[in-house]
Amino acid sequence: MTTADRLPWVSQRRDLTGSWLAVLPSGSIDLRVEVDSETLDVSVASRPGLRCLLQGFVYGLPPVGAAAALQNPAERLLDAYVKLGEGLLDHAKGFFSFVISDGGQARILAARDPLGIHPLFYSSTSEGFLLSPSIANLQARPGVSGAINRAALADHLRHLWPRPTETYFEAVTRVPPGHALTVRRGAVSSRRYWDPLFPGRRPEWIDEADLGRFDELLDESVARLLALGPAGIYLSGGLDSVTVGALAADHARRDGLPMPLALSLVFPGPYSEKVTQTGVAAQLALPQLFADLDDALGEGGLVRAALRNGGLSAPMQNPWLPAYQSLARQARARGRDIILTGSGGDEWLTVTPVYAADLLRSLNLVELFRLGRTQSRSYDVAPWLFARNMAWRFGARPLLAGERAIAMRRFAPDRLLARRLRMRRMTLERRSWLAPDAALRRELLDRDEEYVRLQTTEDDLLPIGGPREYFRECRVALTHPLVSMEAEEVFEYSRGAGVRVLHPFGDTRLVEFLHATPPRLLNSNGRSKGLVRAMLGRRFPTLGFERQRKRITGSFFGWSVVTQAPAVWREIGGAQALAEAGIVDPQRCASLYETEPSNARPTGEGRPPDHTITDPMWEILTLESWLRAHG
Amino acid sequence: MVLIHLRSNGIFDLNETSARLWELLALDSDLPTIEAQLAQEFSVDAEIVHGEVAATLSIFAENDLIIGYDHR
Repeated sequence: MTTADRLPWVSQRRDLTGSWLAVLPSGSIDLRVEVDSETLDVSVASRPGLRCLLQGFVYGLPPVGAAAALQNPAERLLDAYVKLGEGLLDHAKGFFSFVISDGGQARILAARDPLGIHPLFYSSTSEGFLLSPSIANLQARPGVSGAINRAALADHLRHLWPRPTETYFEAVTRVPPGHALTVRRGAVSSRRYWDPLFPGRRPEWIDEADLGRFDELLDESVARLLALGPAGIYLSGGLDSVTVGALAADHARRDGLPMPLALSLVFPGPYSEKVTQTGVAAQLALPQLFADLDDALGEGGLVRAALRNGGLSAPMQNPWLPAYQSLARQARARGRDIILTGSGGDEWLTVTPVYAADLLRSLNLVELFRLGRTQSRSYDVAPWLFARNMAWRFGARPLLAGERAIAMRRFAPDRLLARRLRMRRMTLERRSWLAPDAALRRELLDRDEEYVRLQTTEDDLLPIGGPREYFRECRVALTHPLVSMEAEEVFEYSRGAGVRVLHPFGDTRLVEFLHATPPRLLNSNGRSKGLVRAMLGRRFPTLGFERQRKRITGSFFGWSVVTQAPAVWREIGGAQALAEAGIVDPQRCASLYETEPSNARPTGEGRPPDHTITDPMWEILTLESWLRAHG
Repeated sequence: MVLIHLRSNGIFDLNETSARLWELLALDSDLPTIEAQLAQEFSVDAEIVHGEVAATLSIFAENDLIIGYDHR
């Protein structure tokens, strides 16, 4: 029995494994809502002609009239809608999805939270318009086809996701993060309602004097999430999860809440961070649970765990999720149904090295030197490699490519289109095993053309006068379809374990603040993630994380795939389902699995397996198992 | 142990330590005695038990499972 098991806990039974469905019957504006369980984190409110369903939590709504005193979150949201109409979206922050039906306006307004932590999908059928965070719930309705979207699966295999709204099912469409959907007289329109990247206007940078707001906003974010219920924390040993753990422990102590339970996944051998994880939990006096990766993944390791999870709504992306789900179940069994993570720290607290291109463009060599020094201090990579990367890979190369694209867009737009199309088509030519079916191949080429045309308008969303390459990277990190799909996957896994997994660094106000923080201030004190390092140093001086470097280790994932996938490939008889759908040529694929590596554990030294080999090995198997479960 | 609040229909799961805490509360023991007993029975540091008992009692109180408790 661990200390965590000996401490008292009490938890209200909540069934977070269920879902909800909203049905707008054809020819009607009378929204019907179906909620699986009374104890789901869903609230519903009605007024004459209006109905609202909200899952998750919204904050930031102006305190209008009696709304502040309303207990039911859906009532508060509906009250804001009555007063502000769609304008409520200018204020809505948090982790949520909601649907409001308005009989007077004859419309439905639905929205997904800014970062898309809560999924939202829809389908149109003869029954009406259906919305749900669960694809399975939609498909359980008559009229929602289970036909797979084979072009999306094929594009997945060449790492292209050209349509942010499409799913791997033909009949189910995604509402992307930060988007609102309006349905009026059967017509569906979607728009981005949240964009913190100053599209088409000058960046509104904060001043150095405002940096103190960072501590306040992160504190508020942690407090908001701890208030939802007894919490656990995925404590990896890295800076981000340690920061969340330290703040959560501080809050729990101050506010008389149960101490959060540290949940640590222990990787084998040289990849283990157990010493750090144990030390941090001890210093913060957090009760702690460990799960060994091998035990958590179950028999057969990472690749077989992925095959066992083929029944989810999308092919598995994050190979570690089954292991984290096992930890989540253990947390749930100990009364914790909220789990906080350090996710988002890498995205919003660090400065992309591509910022070097902007500094080179403005000939700001002093700042370029500082950026290089910051990077080399913060990452365990050879100085010569950093120097080369800063000068060429992240500096001159993107700068030249960006300038060339601008010039071509202006003077030779057709050539720019043709060039981009050629590069995209190369991704198909390089994979001789992909899309043997001629009709599918044609469809992929059409999708390429559609994407390339859309891509040329993306520059219009960049800020005026700001560092262009920096903001281009920030936009990719915020809006790439994979970001949305990753959130959906985490949601589905965590709900399956009966918990809510939430990310303090993904707080809406905090993300807005960090996007408005100039890169040089994000790297304050000359280190990457300077803001959290400074905060940890001030508030928790004994933790010693101010100078921690991020270790870039060899790929344990790659090693697992190389050693496990060939046997699994033979056992399941190859990619039969993908072949039947015309997505891969099984004979050509087979050559990818013709390796007989040693079964010895990796030492963490030397070159990791080549990801251009291990990625398709992994992806073909995960797609095959997904297709067998859904085909 | 499972507690059911008959008015709200709320169902609460208690682990072994919380269940023991609930039993000791029902015996009308005072808090320092309860904490000392839990620390001894479950081999947990007294200071940690003090904080966790306070947090558990707050949850009991917030959900109207006990009345008259104020952790402040």
